[in-house]
Amino acid sequence: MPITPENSTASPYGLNRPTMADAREAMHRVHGHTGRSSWERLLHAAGLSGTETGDDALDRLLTAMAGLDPVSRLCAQALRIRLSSHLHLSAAHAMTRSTA
Amino acid sequence: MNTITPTELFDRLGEPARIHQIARYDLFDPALQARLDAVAARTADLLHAPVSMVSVVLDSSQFIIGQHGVPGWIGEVQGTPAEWALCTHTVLAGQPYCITDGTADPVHAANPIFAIAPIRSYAGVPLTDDSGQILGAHCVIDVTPRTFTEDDITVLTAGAAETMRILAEHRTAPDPAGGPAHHPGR
Repeated sequence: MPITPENSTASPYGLNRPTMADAREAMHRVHGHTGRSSWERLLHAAGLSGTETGDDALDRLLTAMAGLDPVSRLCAQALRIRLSSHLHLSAAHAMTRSTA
Repeated sequence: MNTITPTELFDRLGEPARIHQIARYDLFDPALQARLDAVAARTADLLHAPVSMVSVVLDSSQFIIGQHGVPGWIGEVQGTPAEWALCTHTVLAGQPYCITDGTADPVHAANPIFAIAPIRSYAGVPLTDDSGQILGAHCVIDVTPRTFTEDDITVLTAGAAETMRILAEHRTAPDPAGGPAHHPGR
């Protein structure tokens, strides 16, 4: 089954950098009916409100997520892989553009 | 041809029962990953393939927990976004999945992974545990177009069975259905 790419021309290969909103969606998704309480517990553990937008806040959130429980740890790992993929591809993309 | 958006894909892969089952294993244990690297190396050798992987497919990313020959940053990061991972197709299919030439295949030609990495062909089999959940896939990748045979799939299936035996020794959480869990060292 073909998987349609994200609709973004600014990101390398259409891959967007994960955001706080993506993290919230992911926690709700994998925790099912306990998603809301898991998200609240995570924000409390990370000392965040959930409205932050900076890289530092996301990093803090993912660190707290990895230590929350085994399911959240997998959620954090999935987001870390997306974040690292984005970083690697953005760097390669920038290098290609600067030498073009 | 049916298509699926990344959000729909993440919802399918992130089904709580499946993710909870994956969370029963200590996938971050370096000793486990070393043993699965050996499984991948053996499969690559037997199938004369440059790359082999053991991976679980999480809600939004493929997490590589055993690898041989994985190129560049993908091996370093231990994964790729789920919408690019060829093992995602094996998990969704629930059976062996092969791609003879991804760059010429209408289902896969637009997948950025074929532009990012030197990949042309793929064969994977699902990793299914005793709960019936498909956790991920064991696969080989080749850099040239390749038609995989029944014998190739038999080798991969044996590697997947060995993987599941190893994973069972790294189960850390009790069975939600009440069955016994194996605790390493006990």
